[in-house]
Amino acid sequence: MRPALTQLRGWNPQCLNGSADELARAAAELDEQIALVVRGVDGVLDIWHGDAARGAWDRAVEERSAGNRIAMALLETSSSLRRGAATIESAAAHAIAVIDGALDEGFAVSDEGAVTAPAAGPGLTVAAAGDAALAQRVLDARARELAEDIARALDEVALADSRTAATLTDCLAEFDLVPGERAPDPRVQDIVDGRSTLPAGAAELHEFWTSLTGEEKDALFAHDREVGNRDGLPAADKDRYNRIHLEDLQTRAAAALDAVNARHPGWGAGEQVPAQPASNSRDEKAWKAWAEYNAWRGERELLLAKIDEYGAVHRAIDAGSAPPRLLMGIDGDGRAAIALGNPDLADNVATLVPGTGSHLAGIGGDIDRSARMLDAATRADPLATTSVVTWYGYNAPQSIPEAGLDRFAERGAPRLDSFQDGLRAAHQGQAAHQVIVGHSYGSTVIGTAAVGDGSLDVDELVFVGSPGVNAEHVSELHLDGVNAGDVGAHVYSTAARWDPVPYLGDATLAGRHVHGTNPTDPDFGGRVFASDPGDPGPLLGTNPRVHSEYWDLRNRSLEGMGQIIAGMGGPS
Amino acid sequence: MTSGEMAVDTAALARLAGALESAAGAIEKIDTAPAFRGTAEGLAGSATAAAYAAGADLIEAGVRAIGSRVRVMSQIAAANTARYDDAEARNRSLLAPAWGG
Repeated sequence: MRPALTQLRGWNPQCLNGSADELARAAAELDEQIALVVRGVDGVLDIWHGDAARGAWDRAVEERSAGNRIAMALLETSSSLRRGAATIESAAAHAIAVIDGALDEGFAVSDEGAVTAPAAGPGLTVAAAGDAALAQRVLDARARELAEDIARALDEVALADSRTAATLTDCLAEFDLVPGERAPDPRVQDIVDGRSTLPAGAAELHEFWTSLTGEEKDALFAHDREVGNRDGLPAADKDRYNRIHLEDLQTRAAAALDAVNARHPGWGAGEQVPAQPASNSRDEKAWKAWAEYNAWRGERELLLAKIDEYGAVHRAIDAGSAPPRLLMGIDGDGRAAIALGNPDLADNVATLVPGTGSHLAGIGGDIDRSARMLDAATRADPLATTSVVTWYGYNAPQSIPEAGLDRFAERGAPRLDSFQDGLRAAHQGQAAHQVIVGHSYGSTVIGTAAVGDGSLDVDELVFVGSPGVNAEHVSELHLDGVNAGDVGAHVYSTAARWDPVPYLGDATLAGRHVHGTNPTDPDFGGRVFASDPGDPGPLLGTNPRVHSEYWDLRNRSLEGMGQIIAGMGGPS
Repeated sequence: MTSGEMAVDTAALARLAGALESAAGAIEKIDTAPAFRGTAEGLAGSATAAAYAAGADLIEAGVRAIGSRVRVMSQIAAANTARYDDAEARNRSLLAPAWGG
């Protein structure tokens, strides 16, 4: 489009050179900083080796490439501005010269470039032999010539302008080709910003999670260090984030212990420990010191226990690589879960729920039991792959009196239910044959999750040395997709003859069983498989040690559990 | 600390994180706005000024993108440093009693 005359006279194409200078300066600064980045990474590679160092170098090279691209785009834009300045200035100067020439000749030039001839003066009329009309026609003809010259000159300006604009547009497109850090999914950003939460259901969470990039998952982990405990995440992701979380928990516990020790450096070494005052002492200062010491000692022992627990979990996941060990859960409240083999890929997936007295520091013993069940299942069906999860996902009672209470089971049941849903949701390919094996009070937790409004998404339940499962009959237990009348065919129990714990299921309190009917009782209605009887003991023949022998290598119960886990049905 | 193929001087890594952060800040401070100020007035009504103005945000965003990418590098380096240091401190505290007898 042709510029108007007033517009053209106001133009200063040299401004483009000023802009070009600014962009060139920006390119030089960017170049310098990118060089510093590359030199910085290069400089530490002498003392930094390994995968992370190689990754950093690759990234530095990538940033150099991206930075160079932007710097080049800046320089190309700068260059096109300079070329534009020259061509527009030249065209504009020519147009203005043509216009000024017309004005100098006495013609009027409108803002749009139209030329009007002046009235023919006496001199020109004389020159036209006194023919005023002829004189005016000569002037009008000149006006048309000048108008054409001006139009051509203005077209040249318009062409220079449009060409410069087109070149600039091409150069500017280069800036769009270098991505910044990708903005996270808005759903992730909302969660990180506290405006939303992760989907609650395991299946919904799995669908959401598997749609995220690695960076988005990392952002959610940075937002919530316990995200790896969420049921529905793939086992590999759970393992990845929970291992980092475990290290954090260990670091924090160690730092907290250091802080507690630093408060009373001598007490930790047994020096200047306040003595307990005599019971009749009225020495308030002594009593206060004694109370402070006890509080300090309690705090310290709690932290030592936590450090012990985290250490046990750490050792357990690092104890072997075949099958791989995956940290399916870990929190700061004494709960964890470790899988032997990847449950997302296995044909058979079993979950071992431990009983009374189980705590994280002893998780290694139950992982040994899980390993034996895995081996037994593999013996039962060598062609199938099996994964066994040692589930310490609830806080177990720590004493026999506590084991008479339901509250531990009631708190653990929803967690177990959700964990099973998560295993189901995250499984790849054909649905796994999913089994839960409960030992002792662990069977009570399982039963509690399956009675009333509860229902477990598993194929089989196995109760070992059970004190009762909070049901009087197997029909009270609910399994997803299994008709109430068929549940009995999916519930297996075993009790060693001299194990005292199953007898608790037969004991009654105020006319009812403490935790329901012993599931090995024929009246219960489930399937029963054999265990070795164990050695009789002094208490009416029962022997507490027998309660811990179900996973002994030659015990018939172990092979029975293997067959059930492998989906071969219970042993006859 | 060293472990197998991995070895790192975390102090140097921390310095790298600082240098990258500084570079990111310097890049983000690159001001491209002055390059546009004169053009709007100097070539008022021209297609060149219009095209250039339309690209102002692109240029600014392009430069800032590099800054943000370098800043992420810096954050990764800083996080790595902290993680290496944490592991070292933890190992030291775990091993100390054995050395101290």
